[in-house]
Amino acid sequence: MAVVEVSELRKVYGGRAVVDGVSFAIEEGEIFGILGPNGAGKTTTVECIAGLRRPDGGTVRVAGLDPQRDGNEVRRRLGVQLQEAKLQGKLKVWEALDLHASFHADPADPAELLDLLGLTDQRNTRFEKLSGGQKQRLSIALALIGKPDVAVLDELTTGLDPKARRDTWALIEQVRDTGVTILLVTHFMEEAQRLCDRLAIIDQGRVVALDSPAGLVSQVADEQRLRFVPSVPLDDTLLTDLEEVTSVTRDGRHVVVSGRGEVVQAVVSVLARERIVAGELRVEQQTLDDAFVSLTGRPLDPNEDTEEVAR
Amino acid sequence: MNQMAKLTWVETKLQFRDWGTVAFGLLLPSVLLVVLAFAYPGFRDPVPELGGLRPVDVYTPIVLVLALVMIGISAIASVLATYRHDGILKRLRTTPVGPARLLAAQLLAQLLVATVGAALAVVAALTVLDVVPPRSWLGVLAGLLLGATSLFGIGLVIGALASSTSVANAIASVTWMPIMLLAGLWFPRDAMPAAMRRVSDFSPGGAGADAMQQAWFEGVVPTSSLGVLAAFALVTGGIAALTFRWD
Repeated sequence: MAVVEVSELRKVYGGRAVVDGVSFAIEEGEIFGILGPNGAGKTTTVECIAGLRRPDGGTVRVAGLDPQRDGNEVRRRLGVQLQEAKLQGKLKVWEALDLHASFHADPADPAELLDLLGLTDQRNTRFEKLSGGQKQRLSIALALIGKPDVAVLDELTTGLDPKARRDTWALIEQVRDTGVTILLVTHFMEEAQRLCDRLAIIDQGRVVALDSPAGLVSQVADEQRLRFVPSVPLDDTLLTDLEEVTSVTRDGRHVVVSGRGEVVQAVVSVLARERIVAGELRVEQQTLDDAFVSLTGRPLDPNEDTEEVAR
Repeated sequence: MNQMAKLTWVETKLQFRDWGTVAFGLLLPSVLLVVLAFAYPGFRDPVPELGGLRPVDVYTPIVLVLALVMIGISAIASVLATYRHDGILKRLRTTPVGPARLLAAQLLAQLLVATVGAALAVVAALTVLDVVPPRSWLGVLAGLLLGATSLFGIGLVIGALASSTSVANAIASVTWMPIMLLAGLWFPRDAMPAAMRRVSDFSPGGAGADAMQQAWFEGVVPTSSLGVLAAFALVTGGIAALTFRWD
């Protein structure tokens, strides 16, 4: 059964539709991702689900409830970690959890959550003294303290270093294993590919694709690419004659061969027959990145990592 | 503990962790009163123009207003702007409790600090400076509470309109001075020119000082000044409610 259902959602700001007919359904127990570039309408969609914004069109249902009409009940069922929401700087970790636990009739055990999130050693640390990763983990803990049916995690790992990011991913999988449905908003391809059971790619306020990460990749192409440096000069026709090969190009010393089906097998056999050694051989498969480019016509935030560092 | 009590307790603890601000609000009124009394020549001698009262007597209610202004304007505006800017209020919007209760808890915590600051000033006045006890404790308390409500209202408006903590601090620091000027911090209300005195009567600082001075030394509950304070509280509260944004 779908725990979150969004259908034909529209939200307009200043005459511009930021969310323009978004529909998806999140099944119980899955990690559902919303992936898209900055400004695609991801956060607005999530804020409509959390009841923070009133939709201009379409419907949102959380466990069958309308977040606008049954706000209190929806807030009991949803645990939300908002993008860049801080806590009072001098609030200690245990105090934050204890306080948020008091908001719920039947909260989770704060000590267990601290343990699950690896914050037990920081329980007496003030929020302002926590590292970025610890702040995010506390934020997740607060989203989980009310034993929610669905945890909404918005841009959870933005600004974290790669190690903290990977730790956070492992944590989210652990949380899912406890039976919580997770809605993950991200603009990191790797994060979506690693964590999500299914994901919706949103671009300019619309869902451009909705499938499992593997499904999205295969939707786009089953093309493979080989790249190698031949030990002796290579006649391209040896390869273009193969029916599996669609193109042969040069990239400096490298020969780049694209093709379908058993193209790797076919190329390697020809090279062996001609006694050519393929140096620096690499086989490149289509990734979610390629799928994204093919679906939206442009890469997802190409300067992402440099921007993060610059900030 | 219920949610409201817990929120208020947590917000109170947080105020005290920001020791610099709290110390200012808690201690400035009593310290200022004592320093003025001992450093300023004639501050402890009766003055005929004050009806035989000493300047330090008249100043005691004024520093109570100062206690309220320090907390009500500067602290509240700054905390509110920070809570909005940092998404603290927004996060509360996603919980069953909601941000209005956090706001109420924050105001209660600040009221507590302001009350303790005022109480310290009263104790200093009565014990160290031999100020006569108020003739109407009830009137002083009414002036203090209504004064707090109207001044907290101004802090709420600043906090509602300011886009960031530094903007809130800047507005607060240019707002508290005219309020204290009209309350008589730099020269007594009785020495003000007629026009200024009239403005003072209708200002929250002036009305607050007047209400507490009358209650203290004449034992009357000054309804007109209390009315001015109540009107200020209603207007600022209304503006804050209309302009307030949670995020």
